[in-house]
Amino acid sequence: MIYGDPIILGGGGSGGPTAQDAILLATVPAGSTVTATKSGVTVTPTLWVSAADSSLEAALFVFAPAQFDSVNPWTITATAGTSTASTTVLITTNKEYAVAISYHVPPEYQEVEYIETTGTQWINTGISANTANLRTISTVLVTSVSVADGDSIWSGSWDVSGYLLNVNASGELGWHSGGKKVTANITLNNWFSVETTKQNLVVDGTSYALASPSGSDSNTIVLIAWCSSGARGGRARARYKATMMYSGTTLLREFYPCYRKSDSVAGFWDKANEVFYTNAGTGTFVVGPDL
Amino acid sequence: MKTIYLDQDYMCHAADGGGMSETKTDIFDAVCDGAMECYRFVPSGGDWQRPDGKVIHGPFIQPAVQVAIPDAAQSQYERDEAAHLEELGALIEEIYNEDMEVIG
Repeated sequence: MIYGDPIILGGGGSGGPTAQDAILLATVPAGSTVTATKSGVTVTPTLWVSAADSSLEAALFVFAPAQFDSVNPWTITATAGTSTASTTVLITTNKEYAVAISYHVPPEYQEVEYIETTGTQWINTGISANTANLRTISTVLVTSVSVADGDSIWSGSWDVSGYLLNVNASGELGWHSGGKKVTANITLNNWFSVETTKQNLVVDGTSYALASPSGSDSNTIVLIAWCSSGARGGRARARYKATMMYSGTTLLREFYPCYRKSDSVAGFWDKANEVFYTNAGTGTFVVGPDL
Repeated sequence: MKTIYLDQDYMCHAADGGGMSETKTDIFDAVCDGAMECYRFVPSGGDWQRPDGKVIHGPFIQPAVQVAIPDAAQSQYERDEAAHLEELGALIEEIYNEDMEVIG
């Protein structure tokens, strides 16, 4: 899966046919294929920086004299599975260009498309629901719901005027915040993007405002779990892709689903703090395909 | 809790195709057999060496095919189950109405 749009990375030398510029496809995972195309020409670069480099992999292609002419622009495209990212560049100097590919997780970890709970796993984010201007963003797919009232997507607590995002068997997504509730509809077994703040729920780009929420919730936010009187328990059977948590514009958590290569334990790598979060419940996460 | 069978590559099977190891797990409780058989399940204590030489340590569960394949199987299963329940409901209602006619 490719996250975000590609950007151009400056750098490299200048002038001469052997100098290099780098074109960064910012969040393209290892295993991607990369092509550079323009009218009538396609170049398929090969990876030249090994995966042992913890932060970067790159593909190098050289513009041979026959390819270097005044015809522009070039389109650099990376493909991973069914996802693509591309950027358009003007090549005005005859030199080597490198397409850089960055990782979300260190080489000791294998990034996967998602992690899935079977109903008893959950992640303790360590972030208090009372954090100022807390904003939580994820892409989620709910496969099944176990109770009529609904299973938690994430929550501080169930039983105070706090912080709970849940979904019921009819696909009604409920955002409970500060004693208020707002709902939106999702389709089970379909991915949806969701963002919550104290005052707002955003589902697939549509915003649902809460009317004057109040009250507080001092519990820590857990993904994939409910909380009642301080007790935690997982219930939702759902898949989670990258998940971000902010306080205002300050990034607190940047979770990427992955498993640790040394023991195959699944969890979220927090890129913001370089910490691996594993299951705080019981059982084992199902992991999606390797990226 | 479901009984499943694992072949030498830890692929899941609903029935023992010969020489498979039997194991019980609740991981696939809500998953139909068609979808379950698309998964690789390395149980706790087990190791599976991938074709590229890397070793996966159990417990580990991952689709062994494109995830759209088990998802499609599961969706079809759920549609069939819903249709079956609808038929059953209609049958019960029909029997009830017939009985009411006899009583009435």
